[in-house]
Amino acid sequence: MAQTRHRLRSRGTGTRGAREPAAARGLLGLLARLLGRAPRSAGRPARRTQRHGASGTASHNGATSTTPLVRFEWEVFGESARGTNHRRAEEPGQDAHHWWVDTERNVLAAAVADGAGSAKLGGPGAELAARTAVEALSEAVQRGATDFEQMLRHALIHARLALETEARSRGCALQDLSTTLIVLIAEPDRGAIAQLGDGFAVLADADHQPTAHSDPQRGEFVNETVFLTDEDALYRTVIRAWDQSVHAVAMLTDGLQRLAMQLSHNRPHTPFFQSVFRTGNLGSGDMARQLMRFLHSRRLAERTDDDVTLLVAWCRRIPIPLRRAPRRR
Amino acid sequence: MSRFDLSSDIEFAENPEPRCPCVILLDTSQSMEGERIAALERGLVKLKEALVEDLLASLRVEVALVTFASRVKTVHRFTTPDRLELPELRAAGKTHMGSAILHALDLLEARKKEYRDNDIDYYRPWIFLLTDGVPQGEDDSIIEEATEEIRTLEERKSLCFFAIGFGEADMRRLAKISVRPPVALQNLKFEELFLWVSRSMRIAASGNYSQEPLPPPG
Repeated sequence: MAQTRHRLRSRGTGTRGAREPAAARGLLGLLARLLGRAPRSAGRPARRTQRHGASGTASHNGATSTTPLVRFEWEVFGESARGTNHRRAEEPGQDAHHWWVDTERNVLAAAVADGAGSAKLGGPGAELAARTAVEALSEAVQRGATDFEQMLRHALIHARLALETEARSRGCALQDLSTTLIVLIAEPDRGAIAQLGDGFAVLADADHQPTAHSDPQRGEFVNETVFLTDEDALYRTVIRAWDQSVHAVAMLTDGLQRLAMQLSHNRPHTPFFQSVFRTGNLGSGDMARQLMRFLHSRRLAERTDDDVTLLVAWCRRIPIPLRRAPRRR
Repeated sequence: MSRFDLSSDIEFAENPEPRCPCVILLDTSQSMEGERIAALERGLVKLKEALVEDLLASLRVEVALVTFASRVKTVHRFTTPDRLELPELRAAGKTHMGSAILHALDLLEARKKEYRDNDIDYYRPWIFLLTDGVPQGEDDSIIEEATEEIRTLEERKSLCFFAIGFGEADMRRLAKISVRPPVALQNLKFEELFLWVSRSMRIAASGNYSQEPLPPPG
């Protein structure tokens, strides 16, 4: 099989994006920017985004020592829409996503998975892999783990083991559950993404400028990729880390690739991501409505027959009024 | 490396869908004269109709037509079905089957490079070989080389090659060339054959993965 086999284990390689707007301008500049914007409905995610775990609504004092006047909130939107090819055949979709936010520590864990179209149980495989990976990360966070790369590796191992157990209990081949998996863990000022197979992850800076942060592993032909069920899957995992402020992250399965990415250069289409990230300026209800409308639109269906998954997380920096006590509880 | 080619740039800009390239190798040796060639032409009409009918196939399948007799000739370059102009076929000469296969592989390589240069995704390519005879009039080493190439590419899952025999075709010989069992076509039922071809192509081009083909008719 003519598949590309990346064995990269980069840490922060090629991360051009998502910088703090000129560190020299400092906190006041950042505050001014934030205050200058239309007030937001402070991260109360739409109900349908609350699929898993906490929802980032609770407030907490900013965790990092340099920003005592800002608290952070993750607001998350996630949706997997069934593609026309499955709708036609009345089959369930084969994409899945999960996410979880630790509001105490401002940690976001998220996963998107794309079950192999060629596998009998690609859909259940994707669902199980995404859920298991996020659960493993949330447990690690709660245990006090801080090494993101190691946590991601463990999350992938857990996901793989869950698929093996599932295959045994269903009495099917492991390959029947084939799925790709992208897993992310992030704090407001650092994060890492592990990727196995195709799909994309994109980071955004304060101006919604997107930067690719993924290494889709593709073969020569359409959708030929590597899967979590491959023998050497865990060795092929690519991990990329960053350690600067990020204002939003987006993760997507390859159903959106032709709209969202310039494939040969692995560069995000800026207008696409700017519109997606800008929906974060709306209230969370409008944001979710807009993104849902897009993901289930006829126009999108005309461009792709595949399932599409989009998970977007905005890291809100919410200034804390000076005269109020920083801790409310 | 991208060379300046306005027509292909426009073609891919207009239609950025992933492509499924397919070469059909048509035997036009002397023995094809008469009813066989006429039936073949009618079959090609059906193929075009069936592919144009299907929305995804009409955007994604690209057919190239190559005839082979004493020489090998590309009678139609790769195009989506709507632009396929069916040629009039004339029968004459021997059966340079090996050269035809190697030519088809060259065409596919060149086309795939155009896809890559233009940022177009593609599916595993296909070759259909239609013949009423045996390799004839060319050096044995040529058909051996072609056979070897097919074997390597099929093993890598980089090609689907089908041989379809009718008339006096030597099915045992075809079975040595093609990894997949050759299809014996009875009574020149080309229309049925091309409906199978089009169905296979439609499935190939609608999926998210390069699929295994449908079982052939007969």
